[in-house]
Amino acid sequence: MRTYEFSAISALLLCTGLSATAQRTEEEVPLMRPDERKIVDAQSIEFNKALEPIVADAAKSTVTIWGRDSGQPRKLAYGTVVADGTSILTKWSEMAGFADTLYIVGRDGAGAKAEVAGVFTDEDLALLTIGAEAVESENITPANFHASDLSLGRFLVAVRPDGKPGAFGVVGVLERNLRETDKAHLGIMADFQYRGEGVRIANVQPEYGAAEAGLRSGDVILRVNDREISGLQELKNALSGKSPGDKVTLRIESAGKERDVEVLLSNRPVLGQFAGGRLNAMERMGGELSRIRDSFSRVVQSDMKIKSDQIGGPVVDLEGRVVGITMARADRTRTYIMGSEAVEELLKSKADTVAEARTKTELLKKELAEQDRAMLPEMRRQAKPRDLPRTRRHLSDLERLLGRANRELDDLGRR
Amino acid sequence: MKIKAIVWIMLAAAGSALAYEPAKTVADIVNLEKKVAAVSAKTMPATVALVSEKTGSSGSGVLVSGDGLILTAAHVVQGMKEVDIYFADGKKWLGKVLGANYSKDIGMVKMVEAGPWPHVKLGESKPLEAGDWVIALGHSAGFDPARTPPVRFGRLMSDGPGNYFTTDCTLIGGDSGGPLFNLDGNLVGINSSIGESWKNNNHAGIDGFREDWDRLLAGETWGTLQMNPMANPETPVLGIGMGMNEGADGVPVYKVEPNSPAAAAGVRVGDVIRSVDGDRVREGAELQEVLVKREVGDKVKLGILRGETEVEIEVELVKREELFRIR
Repeated sequence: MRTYEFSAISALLLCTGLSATAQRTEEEVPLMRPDERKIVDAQSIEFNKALEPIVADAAKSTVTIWGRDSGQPRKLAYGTVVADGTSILTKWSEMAGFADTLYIVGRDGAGAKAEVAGVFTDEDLALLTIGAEAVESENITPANFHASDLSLGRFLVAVRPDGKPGAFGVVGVLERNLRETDKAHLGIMADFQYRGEGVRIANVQPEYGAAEAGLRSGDVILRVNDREISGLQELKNALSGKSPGDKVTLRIESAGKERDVEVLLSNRPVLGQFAGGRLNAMERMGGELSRIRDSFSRVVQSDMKIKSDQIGGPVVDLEGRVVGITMARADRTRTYIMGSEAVEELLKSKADTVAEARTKTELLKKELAEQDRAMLPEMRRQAKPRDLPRTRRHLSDLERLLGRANRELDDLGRR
Repeated sequence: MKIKAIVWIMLAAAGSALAYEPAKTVADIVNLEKKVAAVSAKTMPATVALVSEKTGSSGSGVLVSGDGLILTAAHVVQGMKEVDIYFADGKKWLGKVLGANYSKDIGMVKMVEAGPWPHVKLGESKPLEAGDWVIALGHSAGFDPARTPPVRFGRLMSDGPGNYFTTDCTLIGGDSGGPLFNLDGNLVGINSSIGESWKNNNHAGIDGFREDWDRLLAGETWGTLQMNPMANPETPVLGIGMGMNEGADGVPVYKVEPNSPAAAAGVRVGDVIRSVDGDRVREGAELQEVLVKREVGDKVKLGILRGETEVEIEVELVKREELFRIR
């Protein structure tokens, strides 16, 4: 007989950046009645069975990718058969440590050796080439990508090589760019202690738009174009629709006088990546996550509950057309999917070699470390006790990013 | 046994509208997809983020009237008089916090500006049962101007405890207070808490708001934020103390609270409760599990062994807190 200590196992859903309540094992759904379990179990079976006919075709374009870890086979990810059927698109970070031992297994169990032919480093995707013997199989055929309108609420089904639906989800957020460095950047640090209307500038970052336009510490931003700014969040909101290279007119109050200033927006520095992210125990509640799960340039967000070692395979719509591939299990609520149009464009672009991919990762790590050194004294100076949770969150996000870069390097080193 | 099966089938036939929308064929699922897409588009403009300027904590809410009444979770507005309201377009407005009932984790906020505001219709939560399809929205991980609040689709896993119920619409921090809709786009619940499993996402039923509407509107704050359903002040109870069953088959009544519904219905000390609505209960924990899944106001038939004779007594469940208030 279990006891129900809800206080120990559940977490309220307020978002404060502080970590969630401790977790421990529990029944999946406490207090679920046997009659309820019977209904939802039957419903799941019925639902999956209904989806089977629509994944049949795409299953032939889905393979499992295996690697060897000290001789032992390990399932790494799924892959999507592309181009003329000799190439497999899959998740790079899952392959990186196994690059010389890769092989694929298709629907009929036929295997073939695979080699990394190129890496789309920024999207964490690898292009593998497989042997001709696999290409002969009628159960390994290239995916027929269909540029579908992935509007809100559309149903998405991830495919398994064995012809069964792998996971189900809906389009939760329209296609967007997750890359912080592609976002518009003003080049100021806000004064968190300021309580008046607008946003008071604590610091101006040299070489960015705000500095070039002559803004200074102490100036207050009152407006972006025609939009009045009441606080920092609203300034962020007003800039979120803008792209690097856009110009905005800021209404500035400086020493009691107001003036309009035109500022050229630039790309956000790498540093911005950890300010937006959020590390929270809740993220992991519900299953294993992909190691690289953000910074994609063009993805749809779905609530698809997919296992991290099933990422990389095709996703179909209810007509069975391949509308994209799975990119990452990002947290309890998010799976990212790259739509067919973006996949096809990516396949036309030039891939990095493995060596280039490695150099890029090293550079990112170095840049992060430098930003870290430059930023920490600034954070310390500005921090007030009530800012501590936020600062702590930033630091843990930074750790996570450094961890990610380190893991990638380790994986490459093991190769 | 035979008779019971027949009754069940008749009920199913008469109340077939209550069973979940079928998903047996691709055509069924295409039909579901259409509804989910329509609900997402219809309800998005009324879904908002509630952000505290002071602490930076962020939750969600939903507008239910043109003059700007917002329903949310009690713990989202805890300790606040005012709260910043963000719409998907990033525009900020001010909200005045009205009332909250922490026992149900429900709260109310009113837009300071007169409106008219986009809003959704209220549905009903009491008829919900396992398998019913639902759609959740909310500002997961806090307000993000780069995206609209993510849509999630799932079904009811389990009804109860009390006014709460569980779905497999995956939620995370920031989703608190966000809306849960049925396939018609009517509001049936408010996001409250999660457990470890992705199947364990808890919502407060909309009917709980109806019951407390006037008090919430008047700005009253009461109740206890209690995640253990057995200890929740609004847990439905009979008003008895349970004895140890010492190998006996059933739950001996050790005490009957005066003025409780059990007392009014004639339950006596020494009775042994052996079934609830025909389902056997062998020990105290089982009885508690059955009752915690019911709602206040529900009537349950207790099968009781009194000495040598079996008696059946109907008892209307009350809130645990009411029991002690009466006394």
